[in-house]
Amino acid sequence: MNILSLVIKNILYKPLNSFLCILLIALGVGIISLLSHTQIQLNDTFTRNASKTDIVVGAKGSPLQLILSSIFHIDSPTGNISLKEAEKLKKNPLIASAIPLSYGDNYAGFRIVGTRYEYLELYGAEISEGKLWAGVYEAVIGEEVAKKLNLKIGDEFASAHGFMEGGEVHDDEQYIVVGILKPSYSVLDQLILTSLESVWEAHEHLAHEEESKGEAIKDETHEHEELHLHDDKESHDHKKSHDHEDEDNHAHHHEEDDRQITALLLKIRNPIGLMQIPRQINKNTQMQAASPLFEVGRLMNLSDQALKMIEMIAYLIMLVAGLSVFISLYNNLKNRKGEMALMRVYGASRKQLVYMLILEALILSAIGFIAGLILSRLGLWVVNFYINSTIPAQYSGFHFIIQEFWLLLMALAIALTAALLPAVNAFQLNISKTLQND
Amino acid sequence: MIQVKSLQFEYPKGPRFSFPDFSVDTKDHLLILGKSGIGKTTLLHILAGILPSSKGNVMINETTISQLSATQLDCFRANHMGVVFQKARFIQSLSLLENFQLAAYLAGNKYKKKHYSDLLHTLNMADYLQKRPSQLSEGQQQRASIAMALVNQPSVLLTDEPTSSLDDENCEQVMKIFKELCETHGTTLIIITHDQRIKSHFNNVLTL
Repeated sequence: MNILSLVIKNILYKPLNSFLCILLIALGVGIISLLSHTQIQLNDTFTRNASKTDIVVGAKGSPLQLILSSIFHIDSPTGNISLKEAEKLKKNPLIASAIPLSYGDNYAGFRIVGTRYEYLELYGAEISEGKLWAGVYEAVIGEEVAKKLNLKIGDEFASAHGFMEGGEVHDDEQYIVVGILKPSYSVLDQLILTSLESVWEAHEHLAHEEESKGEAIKDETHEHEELHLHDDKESHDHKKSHDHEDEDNHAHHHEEDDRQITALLLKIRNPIGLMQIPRQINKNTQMQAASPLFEVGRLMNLSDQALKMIEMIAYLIMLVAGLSVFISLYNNLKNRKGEMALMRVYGASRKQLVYMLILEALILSAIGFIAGLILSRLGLWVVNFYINSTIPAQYSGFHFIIQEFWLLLMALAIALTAALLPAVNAFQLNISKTLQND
Repeated sequence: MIQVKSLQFEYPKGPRFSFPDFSVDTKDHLLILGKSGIGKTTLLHILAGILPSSKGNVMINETTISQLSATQLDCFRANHMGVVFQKARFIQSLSLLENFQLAAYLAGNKYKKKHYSDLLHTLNMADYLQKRPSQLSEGQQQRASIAMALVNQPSVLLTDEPTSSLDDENCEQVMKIFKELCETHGTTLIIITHDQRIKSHFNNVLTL
């Protein structure tokens, strides 16, 4: 039996009191820690994906929407742009690379993106199984897609129009999984990648179907026609064969000029280009250019404000927690004055009583702190579970961050402050008077 | 063993007490009788070293307790004094055994469990070692508090009205226990009380 075990017995003797203290500290610590992790995670995810691309070119509209849809694949695209016009940009010597993306379909909620192999290189993604797409309707799937949908090489699936599950299914043509990517902890983990031609072809099929449905949807059909490139599967190498004749009666003789893409990801050679090119594009073309880093920065600023607000509430909870530790200790002090006097009679020094009270406060807040960390890890796990379906994160959150060290110091400081007045009272305890009155 | 000389105590803005000189030999008993309000508890607290006297001095085992520093006094109290209060006092969150162990720890002593169970055994309470104080009756609590006071084998046992809340039967029993225990442990016993029932047990009686 020593002071430490006495303190533990005292804490256990009033379980509800102790539980309330611990709960309040745990809530405060948990919320602040969770917020810090979430902030880091968002920053990490956004910058990891956004920093690979200098400028995104897409249809006119909201630049934020363009970035969200083309970089993170979490919003609808602003529209389509002409491939021909987009490719013209490549002639600009300031542009190091340009990766076309064409998207608008999904399978089971995962977006199907038609692109070139450079898109994989952009995120350093590698094939873990199978091979890269070669022919039309060959798809390479991200690691998360494979895991969540349990897709294997050779599996077939039909794409659906739009980005939500349950869109109109293009069930004539089945995609076939030819490759699965290693996790790259980028947006690619959540995507189904294929050639531009596959996407164009899928939409052409849809166009055919709709056309045959009748006059009423002709306008709509026209839109889809513009996405169309080939009827012929063998001619997926679009550069070569374009003088084909359709086998069916719907003669869609599209020129290469009519082909459309959804966005073009640009890598710029130098800072001058970074200034000039967006201006040129926005001024001289029907397209718009947006900077991922700039838009993400704006978004982060907005979310930071909201997070700050929640953080304030969490600090308030911490304050109340400190108050509750104080009240609990102070009440105990009143109830335990007689016990402390008894301890003094048995030879306990003033210091030992002070030590006892401070130890009790420290143990309560330390347990609260640990419980808070566990709470925040559980929270992160839940948050990640939901966020992961839209934004992939490498961030597991199960490590410690510097903010948590400050939180620990703060929890301990609160404990010490709460123990201060009771400790002073214990130090000044009048043994004789207490024994006579109590 | 215990010598009290020209002892006075004055409460700030309160009553002033002068106590007669007296001395008690080692292993002897002394009964201090007095009416309420005459300063019995004050005297006990001064003897126990938890209240400094205003004037005069108390010598216990050749040590003048008013000359000890606060730390020395804590230590002296722990090792030489056992105090039994009018109302039995324990740490409520601890079992009897843990209370005894805490008392030993505070005095810097360490005993085997047998030491504690032997103490309770002599009080016919051997089965109560693991019980919480709140699980005991008042009489049992009083007896257990005597055991606790004896944990560190003090040379002086000071008791404050130990029998006032007990019926005649329990009163007799407790007095018997005191005498037996003090004999076996060689403890000097001072009982401060207004309870005239126990007068017959003592040769040495001091009336305030």
